[in-house]
Amino acid sequence: MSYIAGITDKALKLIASMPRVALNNLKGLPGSKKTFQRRRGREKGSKHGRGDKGQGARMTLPRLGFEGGQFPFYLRFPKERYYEGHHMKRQYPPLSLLQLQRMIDLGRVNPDEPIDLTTLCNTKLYKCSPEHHHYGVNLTDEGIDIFQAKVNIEVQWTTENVIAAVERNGGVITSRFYDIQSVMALVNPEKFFQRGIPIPKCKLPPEDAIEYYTDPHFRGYLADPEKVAEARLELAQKYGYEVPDFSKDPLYEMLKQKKDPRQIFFGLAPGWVVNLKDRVILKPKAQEWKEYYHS
Amino acid sequence: MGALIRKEVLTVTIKTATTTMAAALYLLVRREHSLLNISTCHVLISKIFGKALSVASTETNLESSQPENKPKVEDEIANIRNVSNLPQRLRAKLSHVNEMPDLNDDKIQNNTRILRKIYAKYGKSSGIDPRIMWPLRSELKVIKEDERDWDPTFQDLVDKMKQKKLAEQKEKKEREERVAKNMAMMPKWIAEYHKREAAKQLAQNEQEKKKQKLLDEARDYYGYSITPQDPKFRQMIEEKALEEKKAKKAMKKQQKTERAQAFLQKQLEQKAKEEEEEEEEEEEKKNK
Repeated sequence: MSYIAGITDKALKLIASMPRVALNNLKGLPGSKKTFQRRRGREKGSKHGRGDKGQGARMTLPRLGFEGGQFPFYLRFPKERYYEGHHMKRQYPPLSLLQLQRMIDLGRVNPDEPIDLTTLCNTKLYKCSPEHHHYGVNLTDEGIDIFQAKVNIEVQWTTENVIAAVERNGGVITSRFYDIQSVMALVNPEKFFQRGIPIPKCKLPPEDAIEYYTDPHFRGYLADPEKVAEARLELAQKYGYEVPDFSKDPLYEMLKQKKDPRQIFFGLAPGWVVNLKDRVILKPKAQEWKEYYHS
Repeated sequence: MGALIRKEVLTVTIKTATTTMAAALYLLVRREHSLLNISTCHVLISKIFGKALSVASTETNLESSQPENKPKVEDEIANIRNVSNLPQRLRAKLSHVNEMPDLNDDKIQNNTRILRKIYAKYGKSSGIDPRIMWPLRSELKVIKEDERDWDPTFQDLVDKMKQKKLAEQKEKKEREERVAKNMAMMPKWIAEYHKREAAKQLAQNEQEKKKQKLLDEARDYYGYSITPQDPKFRQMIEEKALEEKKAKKAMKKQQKTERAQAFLQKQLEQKAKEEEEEEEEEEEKKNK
């Protein structure tokens, strides 16, 4: 019994002698404190960009949303529940079939090569800014009656009649999801390669989009290819046209080109680094990295 | 005037391009020409020009033996010309300089992001190990762990979607069943409602009749018609209520007395009966 008591005494003494968490030894997490750099130099240094006198200069500005004593807007109106998370919603800037046809007619897009987001952004006629939650292109049905090009196009969002319009001309259309990092790489590949980082592997679509991208009726890239073929036939019967035979097409090799679900650029695999100066592709050799980028 | 001096100095520098003195003079005059007037400038140039020529004649011999001497000096001049005093890593970025930043700089050496950018811009000639472009083993481990914890697999996503769909279908089906069941009960409920409404109407009518009757009574009592809000009407009702109460009380009392009488009667009868029985028993005993 005394032996145990001795141990507890020792333990208590040990604990008593240990350093305590107190105000004098508490520290913020590394990087949590941001230092404000006062503006310097002849142009900006005199008032440090804060103007002359008053609340601005003395940092005594009223709090955000305060309207000088008036019942403020943010309290006057109740929350709009249907706007919840609207700033996080995925956006798909539209591109009409008319615009696409025009790009092809003017030679801005080559229909003999597969068309993806990079091709469209390179025309400089279509803009997609991932910093504004733009996740790619939404191909719309404007000009559906005059669309005549045979293309292998990859879009991020589309509708049934647009799919029918593309497939009627013997083309191929795929709905493909890219996560925001991949979109950044796709809209400006040169800028991406200048960062000197490996091509990322594309993530899977989020929970609320998985249904669309696994649906053969929308030609989802995660759908079963056999079911997609069935859906092609079904759609042709619905809209009253004949599905052309691909294997006899002179552009068969181009039309059957398709990216891997993890792939971002045609001909480039995730994990590779493109060096524009040396005009070389650098690939990881170690097994661990290879496995990561191929999984 | 400034242009003139510059032109002259330029001719001097072209003539003595190999000499350091003339280059230094060029710089000197270029920087400070605003302070000199043309005559002093001429004197100065002619003085140094003479010297420079003599120096050039000696240096030409030196140059042939030490060719590496020239860039060193040019560097020195470049250093003099660099008045911005920026560190090399920042000066290298300037558009007219546009050279590779010094990799020995701590701020570059410790920054993987910048090293990657430098490799991307200058390629193999930068001398950077290209392995820098991929995450380290420790970083890769963290990335993998994050992906394992936060990114659901395809199968997970599909399963979740199917579950959600099934739940939605189930909810829809349940709702439809509930609606069908309630619709079947509808005629019965409607009939009940009408019945309830009729009963309510009847009760209301009776109430009205009763009120009318009271009003009629009041008219008979006072001899003229009065409104229900009239205090006289209320008084009459109160009196009537009092009378009713009295009558009720009297009735209750009467009932009580009646009940007591009946009880007494009953008990008397019972007693009489018992006495009769006892007499009979006694008679029987006597007979025995």
